[in-house]
Amino acid sequence: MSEFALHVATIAALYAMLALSLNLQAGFAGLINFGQIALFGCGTYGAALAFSHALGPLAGFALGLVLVVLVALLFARLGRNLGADYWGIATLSIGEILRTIATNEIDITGGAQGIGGIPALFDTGSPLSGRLILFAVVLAALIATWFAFRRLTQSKFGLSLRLLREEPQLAAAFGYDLDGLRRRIMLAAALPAALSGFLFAHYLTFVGPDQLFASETFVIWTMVVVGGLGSHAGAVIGAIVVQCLFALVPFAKDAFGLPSEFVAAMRLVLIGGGLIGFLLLRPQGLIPERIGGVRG
Amino acid sequence: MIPIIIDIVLRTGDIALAAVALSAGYSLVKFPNIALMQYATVGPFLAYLFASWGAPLVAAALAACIAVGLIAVLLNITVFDRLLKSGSAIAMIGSLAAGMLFTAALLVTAGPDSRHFDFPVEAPLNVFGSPVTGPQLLAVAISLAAFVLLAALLFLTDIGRCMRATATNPDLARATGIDARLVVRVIIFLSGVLAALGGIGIAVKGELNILMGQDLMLPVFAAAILGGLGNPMGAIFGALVIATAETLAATLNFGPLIGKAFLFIPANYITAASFLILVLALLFRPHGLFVNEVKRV
Amino acid sequence: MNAPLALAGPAPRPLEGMIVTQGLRAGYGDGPDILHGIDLAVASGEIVTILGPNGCGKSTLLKTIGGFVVPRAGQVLIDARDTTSVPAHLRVREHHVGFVPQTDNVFATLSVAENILLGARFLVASQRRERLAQIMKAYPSLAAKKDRRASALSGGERQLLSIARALIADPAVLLLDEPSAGLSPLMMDEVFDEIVCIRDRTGMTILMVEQNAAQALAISDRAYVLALGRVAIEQRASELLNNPELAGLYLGAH
Ligand SMILES: Nc1ncnc2c1ncn2[C@@H]1O[C@H](COP(=O)(O)OP(=O)(O)OP(=O)(O)O)[C@@H](O)[C@H]1O
Ligand SMILES: [Mg+2]
Repeated sequence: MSEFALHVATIAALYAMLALSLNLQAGFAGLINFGQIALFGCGTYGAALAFSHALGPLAGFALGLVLVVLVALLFARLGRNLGADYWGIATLSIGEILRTIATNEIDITGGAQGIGGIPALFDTGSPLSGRLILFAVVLAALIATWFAFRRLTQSKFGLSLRLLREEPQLAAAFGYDLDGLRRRIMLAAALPAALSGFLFAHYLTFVGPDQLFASETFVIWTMVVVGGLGSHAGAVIGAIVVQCLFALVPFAKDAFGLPSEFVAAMRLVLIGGGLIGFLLLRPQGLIPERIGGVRG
Repeated sequence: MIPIIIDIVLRTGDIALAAVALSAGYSLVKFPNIALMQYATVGPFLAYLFASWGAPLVAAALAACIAVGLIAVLLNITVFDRLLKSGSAIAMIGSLAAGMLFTAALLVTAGPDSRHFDFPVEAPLNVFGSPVTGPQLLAVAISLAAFVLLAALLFLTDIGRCMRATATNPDLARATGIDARLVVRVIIFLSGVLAALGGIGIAVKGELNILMGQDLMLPVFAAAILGGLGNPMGAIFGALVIATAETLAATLNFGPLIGKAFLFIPANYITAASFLILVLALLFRPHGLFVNEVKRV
Repeated sequence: MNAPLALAGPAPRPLEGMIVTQGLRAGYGDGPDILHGIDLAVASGEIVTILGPNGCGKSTLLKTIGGFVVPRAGQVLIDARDTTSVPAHLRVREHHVGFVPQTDNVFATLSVAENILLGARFLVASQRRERLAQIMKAYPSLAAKKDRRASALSGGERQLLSIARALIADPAVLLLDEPSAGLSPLMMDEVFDEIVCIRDRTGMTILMVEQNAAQALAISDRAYVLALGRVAIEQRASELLNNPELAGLYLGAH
């Protein structure tokens, strides 16, 4: 049981990093990223590819970074002449293209079977203590991301982000370099997403294209919307709430003897219902965005 | 050559109706409605249900289309109109979420297995030397009939003129005595009907399953954006472009280009062709192939 | 001398006319009031001009009368019927209001002929054809381009098209927001002549906002001058030009 709790906590913390990252883009800068999972995938495949080429985790992390920087810059470039909704569609299709590549370049990525047997990061002899250490690392990464993002959004940079979100035309008229701003925000957001993917790969020891379905992006979206767009604490809380609910679904299935379709349907209802419900009834989320809060 | 053309026509039929629906809806309610893809899934499932109750296929399909149209109107009034006040992106996320709820509902009621409509198995017809099945012809006929009717509606009738007027200038439409709200509802109803019909067209010549809508999404978006979102007739053209690209990618031998005997694009990458076109279109022609408008910021 | 408090004064006499507004207060969204209680009356068959500096609320007043802005207080009466809560499209249809907006006044993606025909939706078919022929004759420059997209017209041509679209239905009340904006002097004269002509022929009631004060006043019976959302002057048109306050309102309002 405690092992299961540790598992849920680790996954929740990894998703919380993704949620923080998406929230920085969507909540602060108004960038509707529907390809968030691709940033995560750069991290997972960085780790997996390094492993399959007999390179160490450090090389894997570096590879993940290189990949994620490329994808983030591509996203930012696309954002140049697109409205928010069009950009969402563009990022979604890039995510799908990358997943298609991961599925089909069997020689490199292992195809649909993915790459398994990635070693745990911390080999302490006992698997449990290894997982505990990994959880501690994930938690540290999460907290570091949170603080870094908070500093970022409370600085002058944060103010220009909000301007990018609320009044892009005005911002351009004020002489803000919107392209540069978008590039920097994508890079800042991509980093923890890739780190989360890297840690995820070494935690699960398996990487595959099924982890990169667009639906995973929408899970992250639900976390951010439930927590409150534009609130760092909200993103983290949202990730915890959604992951806990997900963890409960199998128990509910067993308790009521429901068919296995129920699990998939229930996940969809949680994500879709959570999104619609919060957007309609509590658009500010559980932890509303703080207005102002710029230290200068 | 003929088989390629037939493939292109069939694939265009698959994509075009939903793309037209997306574009028509966008012309008046300015957000890309992702739930439309689920309308294209729910439509054939409803038709299947009605048919299993003993309704003739045509009646079942008609009833399903009308039902989906009504669902679309209802969702617009209760959900999307309200979300749209917070911006088109929020409304799009809402439509995505609504789509998930449809999938969940289908998963629980119909299950994940594929089905197909009962057609007596007949020998395929011979069209210019290539085999075409009856259901395939039926699907193409459905699409063609729908386009002709829609074009007639838009360009020959008063309500069509009102739709185009409201799409270009809603305030002036009201100043001309047009009930803009009613016009919006009619368009939304039509987009639901068209999407459902598109799904039914796909289902009659193949199978229906709960992933249909998801598979349609990116090709349909690509077609609608190529045609210029908000321009329903352009979407047909966009669908033709996508279908042509996909079909050529699947059948052409690219070997001679690089000095080899054979080089075919792996089948699994064919679907990615439309994604790629979509990204390129967004990069270079975000307002479609026909317009030279100022870029949006 | 102190001005008497509004409450202490005599009860305002109910206004009469084809277009009447009483105590109209209006604004946009949750912004401040733009109109602060406008009382105005236009008699049947009268031509009345609204003048005032930029941003004083002239268009807002016209839009409120047309039903595009919902008033926060007060009433709009058309032909003695309270239309305050009647939606804009029904004012056109049932109260025979024609409206020519200041901007965005044509359907850009529709053809010129379609633009005009949209104005005639509520006429029976035979009447529609007859009116269309009349309008085309009255506006030869539009007739020459009847199959062009309206987006291909010049600014002045668009203005004409918008007027033609409103006129084809023979409205009882015509609301014009700067009908002469963007027109050449010759065209402007024609439009003003046409307005008088229509009034004399059909007895249409016309309320217009104009910046070309001299020309507008020359054809008007009366005029209102707005300043900061209130009626500052109401006077016979022929006398207003000599009113020393007028220049002050235009110059001093900023
Ligand atoms: N759609 C709108 N939303 C919010 N405020 C508006 C809107 N339209 C006008 N306003 C505001 O209402 C005030 C009055 O505008 P209005 O258009 O009525 O002025 P006007 O007298 O017609 O000026 P002009 O002579 O320039 O046409 C202005 O301060 C303007 O900023
Ligand atoms: Mg004005």
